[in-house]
Amino acid sequence: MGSHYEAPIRKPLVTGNKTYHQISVDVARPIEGSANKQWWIVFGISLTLFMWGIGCIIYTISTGIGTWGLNKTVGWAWDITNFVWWVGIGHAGTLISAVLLLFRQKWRMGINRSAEAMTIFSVIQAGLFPIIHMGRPWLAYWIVPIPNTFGSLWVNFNSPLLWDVFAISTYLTVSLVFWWTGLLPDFAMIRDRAVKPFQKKIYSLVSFGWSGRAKDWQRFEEVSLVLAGLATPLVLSVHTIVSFDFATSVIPGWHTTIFPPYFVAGAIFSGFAMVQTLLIVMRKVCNLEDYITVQHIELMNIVIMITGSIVGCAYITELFIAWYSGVEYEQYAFLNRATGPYWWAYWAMMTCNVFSPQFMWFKKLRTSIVFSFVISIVVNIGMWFERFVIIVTSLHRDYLPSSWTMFSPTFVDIGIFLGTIGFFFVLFLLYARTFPVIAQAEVKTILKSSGDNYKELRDKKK
Amino acid sequence: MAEKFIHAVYDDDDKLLDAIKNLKKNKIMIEEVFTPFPVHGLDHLLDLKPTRIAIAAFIYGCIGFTFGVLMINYIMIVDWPQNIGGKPSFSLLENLPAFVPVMFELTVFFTGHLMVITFYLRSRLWPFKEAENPIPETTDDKFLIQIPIYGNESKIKSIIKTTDFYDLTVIDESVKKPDNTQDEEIHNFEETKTDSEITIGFVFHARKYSDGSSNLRIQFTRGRGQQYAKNSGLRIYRKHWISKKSEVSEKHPEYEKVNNAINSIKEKINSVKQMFVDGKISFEDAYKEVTEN
Repeated sequence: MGSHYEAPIRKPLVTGNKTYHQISVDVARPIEGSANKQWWIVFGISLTLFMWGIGCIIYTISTGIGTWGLNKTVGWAWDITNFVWWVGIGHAGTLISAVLLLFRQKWRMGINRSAEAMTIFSVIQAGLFPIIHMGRPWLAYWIVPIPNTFGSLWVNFNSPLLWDVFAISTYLTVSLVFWWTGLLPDFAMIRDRAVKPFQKKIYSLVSFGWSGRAKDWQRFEEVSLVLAGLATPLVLSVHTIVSFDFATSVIPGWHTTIFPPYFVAGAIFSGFAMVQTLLIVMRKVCNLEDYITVQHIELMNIVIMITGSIVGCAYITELFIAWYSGVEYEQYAFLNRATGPYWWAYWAMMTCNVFSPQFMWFKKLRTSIVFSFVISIVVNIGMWFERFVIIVTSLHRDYLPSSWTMFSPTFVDIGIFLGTIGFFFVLFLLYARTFPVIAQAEVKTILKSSGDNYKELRDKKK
Repeated sequence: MAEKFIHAVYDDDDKLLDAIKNLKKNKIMIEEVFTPFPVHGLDHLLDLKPTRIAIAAFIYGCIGFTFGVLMINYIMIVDWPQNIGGKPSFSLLENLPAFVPVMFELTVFFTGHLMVITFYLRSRLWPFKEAENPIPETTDDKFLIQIPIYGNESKIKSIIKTTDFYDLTVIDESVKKPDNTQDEEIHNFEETKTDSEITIGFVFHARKYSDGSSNLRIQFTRGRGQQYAKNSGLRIYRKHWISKKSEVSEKHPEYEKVNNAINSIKEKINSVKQMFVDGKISFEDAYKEVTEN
């Protein structure tokens, strides 16, 4: 027992007197059981939204980008807003599994699997937008540096849009193998429990014949550590590069050096909010309250509060620098944001992102599940508005007052966005029914140090 | 490689570590340990060499970085230099800041993927690979030590019995040639009560060949617990088997030949049984007597 010591002041991360076997049973239950009515209802709604989105995508591609609300002044709007929003959400998963692994935060183990799943599913949504915006998505492969049999030109490695191609594809694929490698022992557990032959076959296939030898585990831990070390700068680089899409341009409101850290903090902020939204529902539906405890929710709320405050600092810094720079275009861009025709979007962003997380200073509020859920939704909305504000308000009043205009989305813009939300939830709901949603092998390693029964046992001994 | 193993099963990681310490103290070789999760300190205890996968990862990173530099240099500087916003286009070094992001991403891309591929290949993990954990519970809550037997079976057993073990099984791989299903088990924790009683009879292997026949096995049972089985070398259509007489019916192809073979085995069994009852040979010898040749 000595090697399992943990400071008594730390709260248990696994509650409900679990044994190793009980963890397996709890994690396998949603997979082995059948879906309830609510699952089918939510799945049906998501699927409908997804289909609606596909319809709008087909309409866009067959008719043209003119079906969107874009105009000559505002050439980038909903599409890129949604792209950045989804990529931002996709940052929490790798942050939780990689950065928190490096910091040896044990509470990551209850939530990392779902956070990583969310990452992958949201990056898929993000990737759709630039491809649709190409207008001719069947030529999407032109963005990879292929030998130039089409003409004389290569892709431009000076362009942040190309950096994005490399960053997003690296992020998606590395996150995917990180996720899958962690899944192998858990798939193996499901495989070895399975009684239905078809289920056994499928889980044998996806568990890659994992047997759990001592040497396998040694390599597994080393690979996880190195991947975490790689994914940490990767996750920071991805949103840095996304911010470069704006920061390297010369549009007032975009051309600021604060963008990379500001965007990264915002990404973590929105990612954690989405993890919170999903997990608060999932812990209830899948009966995982013993693994995703109020302690987990509280810690995530603290991260949301801190990153929200960093984002707030960035907003204020932007305003200050705009004034301090003495550049009147820059000054006007920010004045226009806060008081111009899109003032409501700006203040929606401010309220949702800067003010609402400050409630988390109160322990009573940050340990309240209902309140946490509401705030997580509010933050998700706020972070969407942040991107909308940055993109549309910076563009709609450009250098020539004669071309000043407004942007309003068409039903196609909205439909594609709703479609990606539907697609995301379709993927996540399927995941929740077929994948081990808790990294059970990892949770078993902390059971003796952080399980409530073991902690009590140690307290009694004293 | 040894053909006979002891599988000592534990239901707790600390019990497992204690047992391994105990076995090491007695200089018993441990071939493999299967655990449901990474047990802290297990690799040191088993004297596993540190994995070199991180070194490999570093090399892969260097390859990725080099690839990135060479690719960008070729595309942007050598093959088709372009004037992009007046940036210096004829020198990699002067244009470097704009190339850093892609070089970084390629470094990470190569490291991550090649390292994971290396891990999968070294640990033999890929789709359609059969799992090799001896009992399915080792992915749930059981910890299994596989110990090869080199004529020291009783010594190993006595050591394991001093530890807080859950289950103890002897696996004999030499007796399962045509297929890989294991049949022979000794449940030692439930000590054999009536050691003098033995039964020898025929059983069918559960697995059928594609033509519908299956292996006829000779099964040895002693007392309540010990049971061995070995293929008799005969493949029989089960539907033509008459279990009362322990022979095949006339419908079985080449039934005379088959029945003769069965009869000769029966004779051998009877003589061995008699020898065992008389106390001339041990149970293990009786088993060998029938199954060898």
